[in-house]
Amino acid sequence: MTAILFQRFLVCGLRGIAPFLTFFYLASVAIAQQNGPRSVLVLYGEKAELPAIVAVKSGLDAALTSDKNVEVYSEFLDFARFPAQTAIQEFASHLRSRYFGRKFDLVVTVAGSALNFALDHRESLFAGAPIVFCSVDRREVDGGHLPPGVIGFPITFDFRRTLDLAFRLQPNTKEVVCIAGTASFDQLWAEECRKVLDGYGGKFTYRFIGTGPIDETLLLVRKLPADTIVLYISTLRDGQGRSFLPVEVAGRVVQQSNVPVYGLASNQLEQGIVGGSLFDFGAHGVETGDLCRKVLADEMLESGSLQPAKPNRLLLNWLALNKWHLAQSRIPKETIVRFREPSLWEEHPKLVVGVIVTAILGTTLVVVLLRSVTRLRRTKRELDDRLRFEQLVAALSARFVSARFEKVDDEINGTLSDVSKAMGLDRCALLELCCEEGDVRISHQPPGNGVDVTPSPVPNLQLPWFFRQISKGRTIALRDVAKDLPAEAIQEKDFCREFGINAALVLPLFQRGTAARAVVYAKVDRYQMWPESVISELESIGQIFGSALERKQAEELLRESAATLSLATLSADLGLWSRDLRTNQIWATHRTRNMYDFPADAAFTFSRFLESLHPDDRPSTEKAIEQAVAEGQDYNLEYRVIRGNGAIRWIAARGRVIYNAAGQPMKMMGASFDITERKQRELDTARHRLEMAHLGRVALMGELTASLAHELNQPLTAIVSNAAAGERFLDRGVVDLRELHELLHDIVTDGERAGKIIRGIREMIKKGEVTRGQVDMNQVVNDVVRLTKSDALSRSCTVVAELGPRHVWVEADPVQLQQVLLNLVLNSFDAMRDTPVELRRVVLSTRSDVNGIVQTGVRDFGTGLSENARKRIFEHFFSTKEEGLGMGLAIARSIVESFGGMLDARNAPGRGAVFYFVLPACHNAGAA
Amino acid sequence: MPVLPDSLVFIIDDDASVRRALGRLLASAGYPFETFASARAFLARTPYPGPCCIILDFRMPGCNGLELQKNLAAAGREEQIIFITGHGDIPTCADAMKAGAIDFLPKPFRDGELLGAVARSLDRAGRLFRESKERAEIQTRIDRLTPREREVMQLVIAGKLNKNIADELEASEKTIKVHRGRVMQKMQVFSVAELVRLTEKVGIHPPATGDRTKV
Repeated sequence: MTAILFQRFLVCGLRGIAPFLTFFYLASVAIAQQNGPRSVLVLYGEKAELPAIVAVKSGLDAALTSDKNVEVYSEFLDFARFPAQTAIQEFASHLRSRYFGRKFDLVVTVAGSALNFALDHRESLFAGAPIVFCSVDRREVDGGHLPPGVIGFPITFDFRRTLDLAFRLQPNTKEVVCIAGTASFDQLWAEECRKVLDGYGGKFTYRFIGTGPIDETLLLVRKLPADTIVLYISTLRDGQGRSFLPVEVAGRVVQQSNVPVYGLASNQLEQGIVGGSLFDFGAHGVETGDLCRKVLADEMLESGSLQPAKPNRLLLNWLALNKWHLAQSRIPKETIVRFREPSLWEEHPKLVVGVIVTAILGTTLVVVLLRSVTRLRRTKRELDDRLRFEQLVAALSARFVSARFEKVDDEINGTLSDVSKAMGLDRCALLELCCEEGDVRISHQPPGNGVDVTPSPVPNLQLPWFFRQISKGRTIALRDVAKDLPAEAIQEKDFCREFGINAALVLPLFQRGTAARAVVYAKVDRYQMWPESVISELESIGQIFGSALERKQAEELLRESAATLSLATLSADLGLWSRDLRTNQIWATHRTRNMYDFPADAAFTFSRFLESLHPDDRPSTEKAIEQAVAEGQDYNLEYRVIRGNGAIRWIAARGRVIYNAAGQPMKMMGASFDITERKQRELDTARHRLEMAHLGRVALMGELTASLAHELNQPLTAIVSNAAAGERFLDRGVVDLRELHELLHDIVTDGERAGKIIRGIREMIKKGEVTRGQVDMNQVVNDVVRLTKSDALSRSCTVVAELGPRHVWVEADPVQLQQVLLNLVLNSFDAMRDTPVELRRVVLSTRSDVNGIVQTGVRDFGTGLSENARKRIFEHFFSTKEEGLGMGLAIARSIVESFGGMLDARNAPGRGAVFYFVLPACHNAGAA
Repeated sequence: MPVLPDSLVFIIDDDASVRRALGRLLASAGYPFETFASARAFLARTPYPGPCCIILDFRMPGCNGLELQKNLAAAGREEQIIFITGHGDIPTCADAMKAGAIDFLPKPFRDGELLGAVARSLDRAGRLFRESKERAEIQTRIDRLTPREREVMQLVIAGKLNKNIADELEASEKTIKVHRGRVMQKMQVFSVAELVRLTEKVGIHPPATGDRTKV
């Protein structure tokens, strides 16, 4: 469907665009015709295949088309073959019809025939376009009768310089033989040459040949006398009227001639002429093309017809030089030598180097090979041994790698046996040497060796010298035990003598702590050289033992620590888990699954985990975990899990996010821990504290009974008296309504007062939860002052309040704070029991400082605190009173601390003590 | 019970509500009263020249009730005190009673209790007031006697005859008779028995028989 739509769109588009395209095309053509591509017609006088034409054309085309703006059209007159007038007319017609309507900016002619044609038909065909000519004989364009707008380069044959070169190379030349054909071109140049030859003033003779048949000419040159040179000019036509390509003829002449041949055109050089000042058709074409460009750019309007051409270059053919043994030293400096045969080195350097290197290598190889024939034989033998040994080692390694942890010891023993056999040893064993004394324990040895493996050090066998060497990692190679053991190794000598050991090799394996392990290889009743190779082989085997043993020890440790870990986690009741953050699958240990009441076989997912949580804890837990993942922080949570049977367990969990190399969260790992008991204890402790506080309050209330009774009695008295008075007034008939009204009002007020006191009592003795709120400390102090007024009176104490600012807010439970203050105040009364009456004062003070600390103090003027009392006064069951329980201050302190405060006491200046507690201020200027 | 004129009840209690209520109660029973918030405030008032009683809160900050009682007694003042207390200080009430308080009433008390105590105390206060006045009157009369006349009076209340008095005082009988007449006149009595009564009231007793004492 879309294809069809697209097609339609395209067609519509194209239709729409077409007019624009046409317009642009025509416009571009018009523009192009103005300052766009220039049209250049190149007329070649001869056929396209002529080598000279080809050379000129290539140069001309290259030069012309270097400007992209030039369009070149080439036509070939082929005058030599079609000289007839009719042919020319036909050619003109051909041009006319072909290029009808085209305007040429330039016409280029190559060869005289083309130039003539162009001049003839300039107006009729080319609308007077400028003409650039080339490849013409100078004399054809001489005379200055060229019309304006016609310029170009003639061919120049440089006879003079060519001959000079020839005479330089061959100073003894006696005769110059010039070859020129019968064509007008040939003869014209021959004429030119003659003039030049005459200019040499008879130093040599010359003659011209070539006007006869070509074969004749060729014959002639075969038998030329020495000290003759041949100068080939041109043979476009021979005596028989046959047409030739000069370059071909030149080649044939070279072949036939028995003397050096010189020429005048560059394309003859490769035919074998020695050289000369050679005209280069290709360069000529390039030159012409450059001139054309200048003409197109209107740069040559003032120039004359004939342009100065670059001089021909002196070129030499190296091969020809050598063929004629012409001295190289005579070569003029400015000569270009062609066809120099590079030496083999120059031509194929890599090959030469290769050959030399190969030769050297080859020789070396041969020498080396020759020298190591014998060594090969020996090596082969050694290799065989090596192979056998390696096979043994490989077999041993394989055996230990695959050996089960419990079987390692047996394998070692078996291996020791195999090794002794393979290496031709009598004894071998693994020893464990310990401590400076060198206690020896034989840990492994081949079965049936005569000495049993000992689990503990062999009594009376101590090899301290061995131990010292082994613990330094030194190999002990004893060819002859008696001779090679040093004087101090007495015990070792005894040992060897006892076991009949004559030669021994002791190799250290490894050390662990103070014990060093070594393997001992020994020969009985014989001596052993212990060459390096043998030692190294045995060391290799020893290493296998060593690593097997180490592995065994490591595995033992690992099993132990795994068991310990398992034990630890078991006893710690940790549940380990790991959650893949992409799939939300959870891997968990049995304990974890158990904790969350999840079956062992079902897939444990994060959502399933959330479901297992207590609904009240679920949202906060989920949020905290998400936050931890987002911020990359560990999380540390406590939450409840509801098990299948409805039981609730408290779990403490800690999790950590693990990132991959790109920093993306990959998984979360953590541990969960059942803290139900601890939580329970916490809750119990909290409850216990509450109960204790409650009991404390009840006790206080008990102490305050008198005060409370008094507080109640006042309003009751007033009520009763008021009511009785009212009755009496009414009895007497004395009814002052206003008085009565006041009286009744007072009764109500006092009733409320009494009610408040009762409520206060109830509050104090209520068990109740702690209710935190904003409490004005000043209010609490005032309440306490009132409550203790009666008690103060009964003990003849005065209670004074020194309050700070108007309101001093803290966040606490007012009832409990009251409890604390009451306790302190009553204590103060007790402290002043023996104080003179006039000094008995209790000062309650509140103070709020800038740091947000509220300090409340209770100061008395009693006996003060002894050092002992000050230290112990807040302890449970410590009391300085006879009838005291000693709980009050302990409870008071725990209450203050539960609100984030601190309760302490110190002696006051003068006399007495001050009990003070601090609480953090509650920053709220609002009303309670 | 008829209220004696000029009697006054003082209420001293630091609780305003109680003061007001007790005042009303007394007013309802027809007793004039004054209230004070503290003992000090009461002492600042000039003593009332008439029968009065004080309803006194036993425990008050500053000078407490017991102290006030002691102070007043030491000053020889005869205000009758009724202690009221909200504290239940029963053990100390014994001290208070021994010191001469009329009554000791723990709050809350019934109106009848208080008013009864007030009546009793005012009654006693009245009596004491009367006796005091009488004594003062007698003393004034005695103060009018010359020393000689006083000597004679002394011997007259001893029951001695004029003749014996003359002998004792070494004066003539006639002089003695004159003195005797003047004493009787100044003392405003008509019989020796009356004179004896009067002098007893002010604490003047006849010397013991057989004693030749100089007055």
